Amino acid sequence: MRPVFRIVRESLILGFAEMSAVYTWRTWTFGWLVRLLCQAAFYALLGRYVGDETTMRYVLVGNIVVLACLESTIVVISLAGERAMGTLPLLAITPSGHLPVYLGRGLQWTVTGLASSLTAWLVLPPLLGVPLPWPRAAYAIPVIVLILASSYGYGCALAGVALRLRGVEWLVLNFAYGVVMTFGGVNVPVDTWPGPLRVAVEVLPVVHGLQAIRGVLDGASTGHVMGLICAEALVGAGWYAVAALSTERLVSVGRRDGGLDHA
Amino acid sequence: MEAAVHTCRLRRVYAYRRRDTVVALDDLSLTVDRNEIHGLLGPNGAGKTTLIKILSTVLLPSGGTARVLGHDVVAETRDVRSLVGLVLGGDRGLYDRLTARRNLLFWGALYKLDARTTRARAGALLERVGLGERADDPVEGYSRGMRQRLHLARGLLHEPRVLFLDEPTSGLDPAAAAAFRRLVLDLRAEGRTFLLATHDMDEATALCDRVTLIDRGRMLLSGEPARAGRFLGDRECVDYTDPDPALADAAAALPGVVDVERRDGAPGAWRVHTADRDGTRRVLAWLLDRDVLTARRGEPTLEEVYLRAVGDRGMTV
Repeated sequence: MRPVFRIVRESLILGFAEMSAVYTWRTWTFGWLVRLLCQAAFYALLGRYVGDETTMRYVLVGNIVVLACLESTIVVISLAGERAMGTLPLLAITPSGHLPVYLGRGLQWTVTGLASSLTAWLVLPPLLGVPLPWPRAAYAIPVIVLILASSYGYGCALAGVALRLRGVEWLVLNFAYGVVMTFGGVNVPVDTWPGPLRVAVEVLPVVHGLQAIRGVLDGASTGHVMGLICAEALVGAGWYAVAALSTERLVSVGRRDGGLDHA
Repeated sequence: MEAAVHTCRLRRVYAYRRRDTVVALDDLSLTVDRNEIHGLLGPNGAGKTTLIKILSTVLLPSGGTARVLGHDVVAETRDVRSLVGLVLGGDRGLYDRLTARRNLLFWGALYKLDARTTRARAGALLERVGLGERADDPVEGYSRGMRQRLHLARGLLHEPRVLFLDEPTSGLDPAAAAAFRRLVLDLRAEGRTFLLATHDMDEATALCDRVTLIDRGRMLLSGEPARAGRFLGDRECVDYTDPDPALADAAAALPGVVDVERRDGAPGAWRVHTADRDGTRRVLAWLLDRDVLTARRGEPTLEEVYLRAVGDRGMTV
């Protein structure tokens, strides 16, 4: 197995071992997952209350898809844990470098994020009486996977900031997710925002992928949907590049100022 | 042949709150030969850990040079990293939720060892450090000593030629510390070099071929621990046993005597510190005249040398 895949595999094992400190499969399913389903259902019902069936579907789809982002950005907390555990300097001096570990350190959240989003995608629409156009709705699933990937890169990039500033990981996590939730077209269409804000949100994960999923559901042309998917992939790649630079800078600054192993 | 470690006028300055600075290493020049166990002694804040961090590439120096097996720690970082192992003391640096074996498999992947080699080495190392029976238990249930052994196993996993140990026996019970020292000696016999930062003078005396005492980032002395007494210049001492404290008071008044102190251990045991060899001769003759036949020339221990060198620091850091 290639070294980088072994690192990712070991990081994933570590991630699930740490996750087991917080959840059992029962508490995750009946605690965390139910909480996420209730959150998406709440916004959807609010959409029906203030609008109509179309608004409800718009809000429901947005809130189901954004769950992928919510979970994968928890990588910020996992990475910040490396500083608390005192493993940062040890990671930094391995021949592989810190980057593969940093990028693999929260992968368990992408697995749970996929499980949450897919469960919500299958359960909530029929439960709330919002029919999805099956089998076309199945095409949304690979786009959700792409959104998970781009959101994970976004989380890794912001984790670099959290690791440098110390003690701000929860602030960074909530800010990261809050920005996407508020401005990413989850509840309110992006094109209703003022011009500059509309341009700024183009760099957020979820935005283009979510539009692609809405396009799939509305029967938009393949070319239109593929364009949006490519944009989401491009945004994701950009965040991975920022993540790589951000963690590289974390280590280089840490070696200079001696802050690499401070808890 | 290049030394295992060589530093030349190594300097490290930490900046605090933009304006304040602390000099952790101040023009430190040090050589550690290959296959040597070299002790690094000094009070808290002396610069021991800073030196180890620079040599293991965790930290950049502010000035001077440092080379490990001929490779510059700044310019040839990659080469240095594959040659050195870093073993930190304390509870941090391990993944508590993983088993000891899984911890080693994780680090093996990072050191680019193939899966089969990592498994084989992890199993052998865990047996060697005495964790074989607990290898598949989560680390969170480990005692301090077990964690320390796992730290060492992790540091040895990629078979480094030079190992930096930062207070590895701190907090260990005497039996665990002794086992740890035996392991270090075994590893030295295999050709490895150790730089060992410690506060434990007995450990340094028992384990190290040479020791270096640093304080406030500067080297105070360096040499063999058994000959530590010569670091005190002409200072010598005479040991004797006699129950009468009045004799000690009288000895203290002799010319060339610096100090007389009661020694720990045997009752009625005294140590007379003399200023030079003439003082020693005079005290020995004076004691023999008084039928104190237990009198003999003594050597200051490493601990005495240490306390004389930095003892005035007390609790100050």
